[in-house]
Amino acid sequence: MMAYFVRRLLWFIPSLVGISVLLFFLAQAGSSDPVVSKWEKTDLNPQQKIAKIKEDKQKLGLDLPSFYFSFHRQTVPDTLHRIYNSKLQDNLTSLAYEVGSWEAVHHYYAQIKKLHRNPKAAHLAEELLQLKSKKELTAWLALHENERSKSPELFERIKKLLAMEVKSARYRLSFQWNGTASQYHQWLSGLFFNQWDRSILSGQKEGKRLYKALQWTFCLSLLSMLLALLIAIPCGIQAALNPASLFDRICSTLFFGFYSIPNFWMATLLLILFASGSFLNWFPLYGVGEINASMSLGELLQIRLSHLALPLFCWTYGSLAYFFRQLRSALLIERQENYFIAAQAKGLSERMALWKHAFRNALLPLISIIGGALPALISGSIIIESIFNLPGLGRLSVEAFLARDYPLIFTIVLLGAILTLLGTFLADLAYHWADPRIRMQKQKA
Amino acid sequence: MKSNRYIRLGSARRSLRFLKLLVVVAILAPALANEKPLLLLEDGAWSLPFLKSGAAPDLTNARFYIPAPIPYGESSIDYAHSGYYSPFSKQMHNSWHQRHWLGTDGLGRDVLSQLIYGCQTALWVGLGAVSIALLIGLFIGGISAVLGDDQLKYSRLRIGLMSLIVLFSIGLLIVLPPYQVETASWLEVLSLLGFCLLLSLLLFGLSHWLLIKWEKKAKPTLKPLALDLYLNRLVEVIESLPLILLILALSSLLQGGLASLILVIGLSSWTGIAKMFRAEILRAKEMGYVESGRALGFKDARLLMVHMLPNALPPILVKVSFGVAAVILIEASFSFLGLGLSAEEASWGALLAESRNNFEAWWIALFPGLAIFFTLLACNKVGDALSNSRK
Repeated sequence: MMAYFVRRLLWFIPSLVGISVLLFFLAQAGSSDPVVSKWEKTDLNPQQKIAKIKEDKQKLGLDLPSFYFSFHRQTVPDTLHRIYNSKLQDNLTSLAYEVGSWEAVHHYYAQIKKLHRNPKAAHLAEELLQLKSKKELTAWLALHENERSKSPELFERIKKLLAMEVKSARYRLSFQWNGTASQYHQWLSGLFFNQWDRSILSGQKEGKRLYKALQWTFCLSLLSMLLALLIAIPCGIQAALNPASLFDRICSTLFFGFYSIPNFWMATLLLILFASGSFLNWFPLYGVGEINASMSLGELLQIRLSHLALPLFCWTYGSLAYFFRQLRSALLIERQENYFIAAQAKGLSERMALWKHAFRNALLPLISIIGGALPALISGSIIIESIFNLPGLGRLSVEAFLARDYPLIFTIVLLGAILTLLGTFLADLAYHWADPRIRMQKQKA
Repeated sequence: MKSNRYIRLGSARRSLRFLKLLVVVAILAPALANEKPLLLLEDGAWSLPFLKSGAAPDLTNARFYIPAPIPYGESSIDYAHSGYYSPFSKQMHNSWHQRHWLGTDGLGRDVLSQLIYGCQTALWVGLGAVSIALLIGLFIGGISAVLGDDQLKYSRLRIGLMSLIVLFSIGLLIVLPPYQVETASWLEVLSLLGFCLLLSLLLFGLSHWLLIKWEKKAKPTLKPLALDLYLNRLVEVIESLPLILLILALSSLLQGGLASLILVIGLSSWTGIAKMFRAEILRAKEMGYVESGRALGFKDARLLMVHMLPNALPPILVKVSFGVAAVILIEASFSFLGLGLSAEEASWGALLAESRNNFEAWWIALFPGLAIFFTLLACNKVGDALSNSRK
């Protein structure tokens, strides 16, 4: 049992490494840079923005190349990551691709930077930095021929660039080893040295917030699971006792309908009906409510319950319907078995035979389903928490995703995976407890 | 129980009819809801404006035209009716034809026309993502069942050579495409990809052929590859990650848009199909018909494709119909959260999300929700009937 769990845990390591590498590469491929977009929104002047971006990137190690090694065209330089503006990176690489030499473009860029320091000609430099092809450069040159005196070297460089075209360099591949000075390595080692909760967005560690969020999501998931089981089991047994009875028909139809109602629709409708004030105003709209230490238990419960009633219902009804359907069909199959008839022949009432004998057998598929339902519950948390504005893991992850805060995203995916693993482990334990056959096999072996 | 079963079959048939209707609506969407007329006679020439892109033609001096049944397109905005007009409210129109039957949203877009175009999105996602999942699932499940833990044998030379070829292909993909992919035409990109694929396949085949010759002669020690074990572990790991979290992580890093959403959903939801297909093949391997096929000298590939695959079709169909429902639900939830598609693409989920801006506008919450609900219900009913018909 333990060995199985440990093996499972070990299998997780390579796959998580795989996922993290994948996430990293996709993050690199993504167009918007989280740090840049964070500072672009502020109203600093361009120089200050660049300084801030530089500072942030250095602090977070984002000025490093992304992976242990990299392949690229020869026209893409190995020092490209030192240019902080990704748009500029794009423009320069595109130019280098056309002329076929990074070196020439690099000299050109150095001249532009020199020009930039001259306050009278800074606007020219700004214009040049926007250009990304020989065609645009030629047009620019024709327009500004009379300003040659401001930087004759630069104009020489541009002329040289326009004359060059080494096509073969485009098709040569160069390989570069970055070693430990790479973003991936920094992040991976940070995972082990108390840096796992670092966020790009805030530039700080988010452990406390993550822990709080995890607490909320965990409690609510557990509560909704318990609620679902407490309702599904008695209903399922009652329905299986008299299939095609009125109770069975009502339950089956109701739960089949529930099963197909998307939880965000249900949540929206409930909000409109009961919380918005447009129709009824029974529940608060969102949040979990303010509490303080001086409140009595009754008040505390009232506040929490009124805030959590709608989210809990939306969280629960899907799994409730699923559990009910599974339990009912499993019980109906068990009813056909010989042992069930034998139990009745022994003198047990149908209800007792169902509870005492069939239920235990029908429980087995349900247990593995419950273990597997944990990922679904966490997925559900994303939607429900966003709608009702609960401070859980789901809402936190949506925020992180929208900001492309991928260190935080990965930590959350990791947490989700660990929670799921825990769920499956508990389900295995429960299976062990419920099915004596597994125990007997173990003892024999 | 017999009558019960026929009731179920009847409702499944109705569900199937409903799904067919959705497909028809999705295909005919540009003709059903469009601000441009279907048929136009202008200056003595007939034309079909609804098929053309661009602005709506001026109809004041048209001699004859047939308008679309709903005169509002996917992105047409009725400024006179912006700001949430209820289906029952008084609307300022000259004719009944222009009425917003299901109301408008805050911008003044017609809810009914959005619903019709939402069908298209749902259909694309349902078919696209499930076919990707099906392709991957059948492939992985099939090879893991057929090759098992001991069928695939390898020598060191083979591993080395094959990984070299893979590296070479990746290098080709980095070097060959033009730098600015955005400006390149689709045809260029596709032909380049095709060229890379063809070249790698050619190299692969050639080295495979040479290796077989060499292996026959030199007789190196061959080790079995525990393919089944590795693939099963892979499936287990993917299943233990919360699906939405995984899709969210992948899609937030990709550029938005319908195509990448479909790809990401398809790429992360194939495990159920793979598991089921593997089990079906393992079961079929013990059956008489496979044994007799093998006795007749059929190859593994033929046995798999011609004999075992058709026999495994009914359970696959069950998975597909439940899968379509699941995938449509995922897309709707994503659009609802504002994570999936861009704002221009009509989607039931995105429309539903608008109701959160204005809780008075019950019609924006009700109708798209009903569309999602009935679609899911129909898919689930069909799946249910299919799985029951096998018992």
